[in-house]
Amino acid sequence: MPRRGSLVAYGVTRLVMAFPMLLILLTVVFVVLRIIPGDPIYALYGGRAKPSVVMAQRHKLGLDQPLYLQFANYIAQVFTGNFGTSLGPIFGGQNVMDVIMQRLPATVELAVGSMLVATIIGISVGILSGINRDRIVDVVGRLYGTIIFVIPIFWLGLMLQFVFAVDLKWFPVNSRFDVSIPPPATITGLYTIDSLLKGRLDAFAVAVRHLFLPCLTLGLVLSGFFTKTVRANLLRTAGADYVEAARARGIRRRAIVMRYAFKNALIPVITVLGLEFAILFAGAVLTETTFNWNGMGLLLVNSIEVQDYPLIQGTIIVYSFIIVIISLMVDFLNGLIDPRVRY
Amino acid sequence: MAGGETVGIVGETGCGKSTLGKAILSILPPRTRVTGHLLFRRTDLNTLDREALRRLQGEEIALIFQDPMTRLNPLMTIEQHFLETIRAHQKVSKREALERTMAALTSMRVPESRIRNYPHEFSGGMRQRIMIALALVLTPSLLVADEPTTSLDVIVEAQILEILQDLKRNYRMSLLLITHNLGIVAEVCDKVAVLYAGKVVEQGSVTDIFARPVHPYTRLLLQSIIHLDTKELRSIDGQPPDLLFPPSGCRFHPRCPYAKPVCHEKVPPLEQFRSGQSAACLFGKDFV
Repeated sequence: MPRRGSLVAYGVTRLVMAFPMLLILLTVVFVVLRIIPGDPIYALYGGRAKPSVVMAQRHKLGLDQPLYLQFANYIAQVFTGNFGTSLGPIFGGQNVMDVIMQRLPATVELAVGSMLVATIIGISVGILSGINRDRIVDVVGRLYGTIIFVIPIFWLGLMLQFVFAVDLKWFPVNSRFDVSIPPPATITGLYTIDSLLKGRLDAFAVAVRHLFLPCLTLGLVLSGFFTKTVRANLLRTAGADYVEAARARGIRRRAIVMRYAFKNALIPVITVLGLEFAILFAGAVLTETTFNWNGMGLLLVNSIEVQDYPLIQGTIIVYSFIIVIISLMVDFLNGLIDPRVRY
Repeated sequence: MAGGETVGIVGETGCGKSTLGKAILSILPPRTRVTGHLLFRRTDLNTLDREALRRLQGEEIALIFQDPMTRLNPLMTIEQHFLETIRAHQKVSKREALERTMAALTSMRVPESRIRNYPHEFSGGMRQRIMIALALVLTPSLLVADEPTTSLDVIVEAQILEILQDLKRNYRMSLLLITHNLGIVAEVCDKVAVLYAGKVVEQGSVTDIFARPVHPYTRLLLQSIIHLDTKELRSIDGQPPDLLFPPSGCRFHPRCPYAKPVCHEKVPPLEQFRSGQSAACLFGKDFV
């Protein structure tokens, strides 16, 4: 048994506690999908199908079973990774999991890229603001944080497309890759990683050029909140008693800023980072629509439009899993930095 | 202050005792305006550049704070605090730094086995002993102790005072003890300075000041000490003044039972009334 307060013990506890959380999340998804108005079979045939056909379809999907059996089936589906087949006009007949797995890499690439942009910009502007409190740099930084936070994603996306893609032609307008050259062979599905694994630097450059504008849009919007959180927490920790004590011991200024002020300020920032990451997946729906980015967000929007229930359900479940994984990662990171939460 | 001497700084809450301590360590908040001179070994600390000052901080002059609970970085182990402090000043191997850490902690009766623990795993008394060990690990020649025992219970207080006495004897370290506890001053200090509203109102040897105080404030302060046979608590009427808008003339005049009209106008200088005892009172000779 690992020592109490050790990182391993803490990680294991968090992992075990993620299961009830996941179960609650899955239940909410199940209930919500069944209480919202609309009928998948009705949507499928537009109300023109014969009652016998409707009955047969209902039976095939298990919708004629009592709710508790439907729920048991649903949980079994989730844990076997089999979400049934799509009903919609686009992916009709295809396995839902396959469809999602084709789209997931695009969203992961977008999300990770945006998060990189958001953290790099957010943390640097936040630190600059914090250590230059009330000077001109800080005023500009605070103004940036407020303005960027309230800008709608689609508006910023359109403006960036207009300036950098249409006008200056530095970046492509939309889509994940050029049509003129073949994309890298699929290993992970992430174009950037795959092209690097295959040693194709040209394809990597193309993938990054395509990623740039969508990631910049989403990253910029998210960086506003980051800037403010980093600044506020840095000011709090820079005035902390332990910082004053470290100064009295003659610790170098650089070490005080990094090991004392910044590291302590990072704890709440990481929690915010996790929340933002979750918001980011929601934001990805808008970004993917604006940039016609063929990811999960676009898939969800399209499947809601045609009321493709198995596909909606599958997409939301995968989203739920992602959120749980992110919150696990946040907990773990916090435990790594802060010994006090390991208990 | 002479080498190996212990000087007490006493005064009410809010009279500038802690500010004085921080000023000596040059750790007042940034953009604080500092006037006057702070001489350490004939060098004015206010004229030193940042790096020269940093070298003095912790190695030559160390400070023990009054609230040990919040003075250690919660994300660093005790070991990391010590190694960082030692290596910020001296180029020594990790092994040697560790040995010194162990020695400092042992002298404070902190078990060596707990060196890898984090601050939140220690009690208040234990943390204060760690803070003292941390202040002493580089054997400074001047230790400023800002109410080192205020937040601790009387038993730990007695232990800590004893440890400080030992250290003074062993290292010939000078100790500046900031406190509002006159009992501690009488017990530990050689000299004492009484602070009122940011100014020294009286200073001298402990025996002189306790036996024959000159300044009315010192007298009233001594009268307010509780003894075993105290029947009635005596206090000084009124509140210490707002230091942003200090009273004119003698800062104590609004509360002084002997105040005369001239006290409202004239700022009393610090005058010597006996050998080694001076006070800032216009009518000091009447009280001698």
